[in-house]
Amino acid sequence: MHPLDTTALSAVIDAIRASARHTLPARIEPQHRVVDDLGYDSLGIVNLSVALEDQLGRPILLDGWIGGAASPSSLTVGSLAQWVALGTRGEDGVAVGAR
Amino acid sequence: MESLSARAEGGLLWLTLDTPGSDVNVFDLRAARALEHELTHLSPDVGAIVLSSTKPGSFVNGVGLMMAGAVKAKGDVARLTAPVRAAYRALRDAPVPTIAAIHGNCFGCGVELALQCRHRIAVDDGPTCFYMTEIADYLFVPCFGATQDLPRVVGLDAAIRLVVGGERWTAREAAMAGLVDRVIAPRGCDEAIRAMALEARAGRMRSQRVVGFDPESSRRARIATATLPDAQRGVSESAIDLLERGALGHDAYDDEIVAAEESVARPESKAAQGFFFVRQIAAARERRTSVPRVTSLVVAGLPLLADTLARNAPMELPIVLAPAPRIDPGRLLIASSDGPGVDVVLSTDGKPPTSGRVRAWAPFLASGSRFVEIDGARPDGAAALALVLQRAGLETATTHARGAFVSEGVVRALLDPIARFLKRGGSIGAAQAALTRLGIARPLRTIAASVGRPFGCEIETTSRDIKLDVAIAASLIAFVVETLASGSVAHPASLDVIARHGIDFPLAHRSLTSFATVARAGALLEHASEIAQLTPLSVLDALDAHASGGRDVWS
Repeated sequence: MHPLDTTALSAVIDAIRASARHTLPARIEPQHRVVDDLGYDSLGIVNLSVALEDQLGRPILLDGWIGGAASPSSLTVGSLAQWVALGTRGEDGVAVGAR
Repeated sequence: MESLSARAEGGLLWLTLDTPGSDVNVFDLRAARALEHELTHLSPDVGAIVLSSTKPGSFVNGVGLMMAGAVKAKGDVARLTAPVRAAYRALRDAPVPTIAAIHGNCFGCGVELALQCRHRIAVDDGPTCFYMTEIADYLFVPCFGATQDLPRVVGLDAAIRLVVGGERWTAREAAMAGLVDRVIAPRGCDEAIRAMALEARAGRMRSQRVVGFDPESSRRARIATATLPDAQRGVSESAIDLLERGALGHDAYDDEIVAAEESVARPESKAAQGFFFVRQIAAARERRTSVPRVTSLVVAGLPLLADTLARNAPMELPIVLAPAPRIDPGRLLIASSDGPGVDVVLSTDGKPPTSGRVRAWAPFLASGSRFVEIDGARPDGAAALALVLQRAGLETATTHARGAFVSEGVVRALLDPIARFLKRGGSIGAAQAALTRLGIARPLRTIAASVGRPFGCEIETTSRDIKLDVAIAASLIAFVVETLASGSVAHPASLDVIARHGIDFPLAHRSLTSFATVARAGALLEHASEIAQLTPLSVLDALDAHASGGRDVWS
């Protein structure tokens, strides 16, 4: 597993703060579970995608991130940051950059 | 806030769904656990149970795609949905009469939830709609008993139409099919539900059940299914097999789970599940924070749209249908509380409107797609129109194509190579086969007629080996590249929604802009000579530019 990309993590946390419709913990940690701890459902994930797009400046779909988990309970803030970082860098690690 | 609240009163237990932080009810694990808890801790005073929703416009919209997304291997569906299954079983086995009081969207597992109740009543208004999303939207077999329970309640023919055919039923249509026992008016519906619950408690409420196996309806469905593209055919045939066994009274619930598991894990279903997010992102980008409060809508002419609005508009939106003497046919007048009315020219036939302050076009209504493209040149008027149409259950895309409509563009990008193919002696049958290979199920004639291009002429058929499907794919990718570069759509997801409605762009590819990858453009260039025979040179240029310096739309 790669170390967490701090830029991606901070974009994810900002997007969660912008899109959440539930009361959030004072501090959002990488190990927080997006469904169980932060209250997201599939429509919430849509709002999170839109907020992430605003952060990153490129359209982003999260179905691949959801599909990679064994269950919705294992989707975490950290796993989302890793997934976002992979999309930003590309599979070969070269930065794709913002649109 | 809880997903489910319980209130006991006068021998009745009222269980009310209200998913926290969501505009619609999602029967997620929290709701499932809460329902099972209530049903396994019933007080002996309870004589009947009413399951309903406080969410305006939504009874249950789904279990949430998050679970479907996580299914990968054998055993996953049973494992992930166990709490939902336990709640459904507890509802079915409840020792007292149970009533689903349905007001608003009743989609997918919401239909299956209602089927666990002994009685179903539905409020007769716009948002009440019965729709099985599983195959129509996500290409997987439902997994909470629909294939077994539905044919025993509504008969095999209606069950096939709902589960496989993707029909949407109003409260009255559901009652005619036997899915709901009674339909009640929105005004005073709470009192009517209470009266029926008391009737059920006294054992006086009877359910209408149609039970039977009609081999003819299954034969018809199999013929219709045989010509579908592969991705739809497999899942449809699997569902018909199960529905037949349900109608025959077999207990094939476990086989339904196996079929659901197999279908939901396939790549085409994963792609279709991805389109849910594309579509919702388009809707989120379409929503504006400040729009005038609409107070009435006058529709003149436009019988197709007027009918759709009349059937689906929520009751708080007053709609005046034709005749409206003060406005011309083909016009809509949207009145708002804070400003002058918005004058809209909207066309539902094959020709886009050329005049009007706000122009809108719904060319695909005739083929059943509830979609309207709105020219966004005047943003406030466009936003007011979008709001009205969305509240009536239509999907909208606001575009900036400067006089043209993206709807027409996407259909033309599909039809142009086909027209050249026909001119060169190709047959309509071969063209339809190319569409099927691409995954498009809609008949070519229907697609062409939507933009006023009937393919009626007799064509002399000769056998030619031209790769039409390759040329169509190239033409569509070039159209994506050009449309996104021109700024005609505010967001790629809007183009995807238009392509889904306009050319039945297959869910198995997730969406048109997902299909238009740099890698696919590069692969298509290997067939450049065939593509050049059926498309203008600009298509190859666009493919080349995309393959060499472009970027995939979605990351």
